Amino acid sequence: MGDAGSGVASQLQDQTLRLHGRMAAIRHKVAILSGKGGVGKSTLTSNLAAALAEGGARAAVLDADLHGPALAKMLGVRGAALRFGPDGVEPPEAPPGIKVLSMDQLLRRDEAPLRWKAPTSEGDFVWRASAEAAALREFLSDTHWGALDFLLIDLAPGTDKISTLASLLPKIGAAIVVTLPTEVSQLTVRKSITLATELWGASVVGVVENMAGYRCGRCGHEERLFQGPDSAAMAREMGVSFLGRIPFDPGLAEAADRGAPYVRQARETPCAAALRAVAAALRSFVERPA
Amino acid sequence: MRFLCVTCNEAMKLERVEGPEDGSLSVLFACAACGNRVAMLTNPWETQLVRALDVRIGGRSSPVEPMEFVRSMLASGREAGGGGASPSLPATGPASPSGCPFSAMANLAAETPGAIRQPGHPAIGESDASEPAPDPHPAIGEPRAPSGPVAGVPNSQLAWSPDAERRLERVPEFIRPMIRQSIEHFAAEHGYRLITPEVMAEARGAFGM
Ligand SMILES: Nc1ncnc2c1ncn2[C@@H]1O[C@H](COP(=O)(O)OP(=O)(O)OP(=O)(O)O)[C@@H](O)[C@H]1O
Ligand SMILES: [Mg+2]
Repeated sequence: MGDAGSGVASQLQDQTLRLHGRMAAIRHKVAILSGKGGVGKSTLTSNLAAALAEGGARAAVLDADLHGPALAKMLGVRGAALRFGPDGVEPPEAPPGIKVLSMDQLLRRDEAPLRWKAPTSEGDFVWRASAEAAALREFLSDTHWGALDFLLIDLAPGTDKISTLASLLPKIGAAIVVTLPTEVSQLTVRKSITLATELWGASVVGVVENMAGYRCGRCGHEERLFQGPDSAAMAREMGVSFLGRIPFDPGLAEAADRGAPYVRQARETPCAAALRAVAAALRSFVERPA
Repeated sequence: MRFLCVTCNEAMKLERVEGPEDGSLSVLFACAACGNRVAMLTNPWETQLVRALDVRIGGRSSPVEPMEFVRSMLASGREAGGGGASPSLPATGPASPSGCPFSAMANLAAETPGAIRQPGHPAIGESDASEPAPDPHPAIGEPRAPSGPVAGVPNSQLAWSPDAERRLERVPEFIRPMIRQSIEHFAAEHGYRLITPEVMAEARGAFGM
C-alpha cells in the first residue's frame, strides 16, 4: 500500500469500477448541455425521455444540475421517495416508465438550497467542486438504473460541468448542445462545442436549436422569435451534427410546470412533433454505423 | 499522498488518526523499518478537501453503501423516515457506516455549527458553557498583556491558565508537546505572560488551524 495504509489509490479504483459496472448496462449515455443557462436543456431532456420511452426505449434521466434541479418537477415525481434497495437507490418512475434521479428528491424543502456539511463555509470553493463531482459519481453509480437504452443526463449551465461529466464518463453516445438562435447564446455554446468535441469527439456532438420560431395561437401564422444567426450553420461550421429545432410554445412551459411532458400532453402540436423529431434524430444519431 | 522515511527510503505506515479538534485532524505515520514517526495536522479546509474526495484515510473497513457520500454530506437533506415526501433512505449520520475513523470524525466535525464546536469539546480558544464562567477580573495577560510585546520571553515566565491547560488536554497526546511549544512561542512573541483560551484561539488563527 503505497499511501501509508489508506489504500487511496485502490479506493479510487473501486469507485471507477463501481461506476463502470453500473454504466455497462446502459447502451447510450446522452449528455444534454449548453454552457448557457435557461435555454431549455431540462425541458428538452424531459420531453426527449418521454418521446423515447413512448417509442419503446428504456429511458431514464439523471438531473446533474445539483444546485438547480428541475427534472423531478418537470416529470411530476418531486414528492416521490427514493428507496434504498439491495441494488442501490431505487429512483421513482414517471410515466411511461422513466426513471428519474434528481437532487431535488434529497433536499428537505422547496426553498432549501444545496449545502454541504462543512466545519466552515469559509473557503468552501477549495473543495466544493470535488464534492459535487463525488455526488454526481454516486448518482451515476449507486442508482439502480437497470438495463437501459438511454440515460439522459441534464447538465447545469457552465462549461465546467462538461469537463466534470467527461471525467466520470470519458465515452458517451451523444452530447446534445442546446442553443437559442441568438449571438449571445451562441457565444457560450461555441465554447461548449469546442470542449465537448475535445473531450468526447466531434462525432458525438449534436446541436439542437430551441425557441426557434413562434406560431400565433390565434391565426396560426409562424414567425421567427429571434433574428439571430442560424444554429444549423454554426453546427456545420464547427464540424458537428445538427439534430433539429424546437419552436417556442407557451404550452411547453405550462406542461413542464404541471409535471407532464408536452409530447404526451399535446401530441398534435407542432412543438410536440418537433420534440419527437429530435428524439428520432437522436436515435439514429446514436445508432448510426461507426 | 504518501510519506517516505528519508533514512530508510520506506513508505511510512498510517498508525493512527485522531481528532477532529475544531475540524483539524492529526494523523500519525510511522516508518516500519526504523520506527521514526511523523504527525500530519490538517486544518479544517484540508480535512474537508479530503472528505470531498470521498476517500477514507486509514482505508475502508466496511463495504460502500449506496450514495453514502451524498447522504452523509448533505447539510439540508431530507430526514429519513420523516413526513410523506421523505426518502426511505437510512440516514448516514456522523458515524459513517463505513466505520472509518476518518470519515466518522470528519463528519462529526462538520456537524458542528459555526466551525467547529462540539458539545463537550469546545474549540481551542472558545469559551465553553460547561466550564466555570471566566473571571470578570482576569489576571495578568488577559486577553492582551498590558506590558506590551516582550520578545523572546523564556518559557519559564509563561503560565497556563487552568482553562487553557484543560483545552490543551483535548489535543491528541502525541502532538500535545508540539502544540504546547508553538503556543508558548506565539505567546512570548506577542507579549503574553498568561496563556488563556483566548491566546490559544489567536495562536490557532495565526497557525492557520
Ligand atoms: N420552446 C420553448 N417554448 C416555451 N417555453 C420554453 C421552451 N423551452 C424552454 N421553455 C421554458 O423556459 C424556461 C427555461 O427552460 P429550462 O429550465 O428547460 O432551461 P435550462 O436550460 O434547463 O435552464 P438551466 O440552465 O437553469 O438549467 C422554463 O420555464 C421552460 O418551461
Ligand atoms: Mg435545467
